[in-house]
Amino acid sequence: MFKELDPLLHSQLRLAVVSLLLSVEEADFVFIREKTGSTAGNLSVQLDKLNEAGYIEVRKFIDGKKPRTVCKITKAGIAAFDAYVKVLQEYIKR
Amino acid sequence: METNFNEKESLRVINEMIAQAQNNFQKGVADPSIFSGYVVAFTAISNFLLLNVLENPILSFHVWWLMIPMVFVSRYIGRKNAIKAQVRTQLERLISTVWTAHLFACITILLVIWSGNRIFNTSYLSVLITPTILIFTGMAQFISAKAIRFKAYYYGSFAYWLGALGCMAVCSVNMWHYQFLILAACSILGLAVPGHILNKKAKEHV
Repeated sequence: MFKELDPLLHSQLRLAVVSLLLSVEEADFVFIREKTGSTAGNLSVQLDKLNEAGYIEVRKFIDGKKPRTVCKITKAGIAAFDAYVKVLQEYIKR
Repeated sequence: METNFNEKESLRVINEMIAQAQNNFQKGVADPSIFSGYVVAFTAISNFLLLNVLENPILSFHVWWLMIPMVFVSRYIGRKNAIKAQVRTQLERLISTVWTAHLFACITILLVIWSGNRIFNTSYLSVLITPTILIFTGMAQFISAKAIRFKAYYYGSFAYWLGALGCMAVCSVNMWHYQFLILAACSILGLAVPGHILNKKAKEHV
């Protein structure tokens, strides 16, 4: 019996965000938007979903006069990604 | 709008994002290295000139107290850039650790050589200070090069190691004070120039 893929991660943009954050210590909203090729609005919505699920931490602050949003993956996010990849491997072996 | 997609596409996205996360150099990443390179070069050349000008040449070595503010300013520049950075990676933390280790190693070798001079009642061991520091710097640069896969840093590390050999070569012909010019050249070629190249690459990448 195959486990279900985490629906929160089984989405192109959310998976891209988590994969990106896994590879860096933290990343700015602008960086994530550029690398994922998403729109600001869509990315903002997806980051909120991941943040609410506890997969990422979002930190907002003012840098000089510029507002900035910096994201970082959490331990829960890393565990969820690990679990996702394991289930993915089972699906691919099928 | 979200797109549902299949397992193979999931893997593609994961691989693509991991690749995207690599070799992202933040703007100004090499500013601390460039600053340190020029300051060391300036200090080394000053030491060389003062050795020839001062009535008491020993006083010329006091220029090296400049290294203390240099370390603080360099770290301040690095921290300021890190706050503004769009991305921070584990590699940057590793490289910062390598250069911290380099700093402690240089302080330790200075203490070791000064102690050795006192113990053996000599000043000859002092000629090993510059080549040893060049070797340490080459090592730190080599590890940084490997971590970020940046060729110019490899060349820089070999410039430092050749410089260390050059220092002993000038000692062998009783021109030990030319070590400072070698140190200046190594600082420019091994640290400042690769730093400029890396900064230019950072502007293109992030």
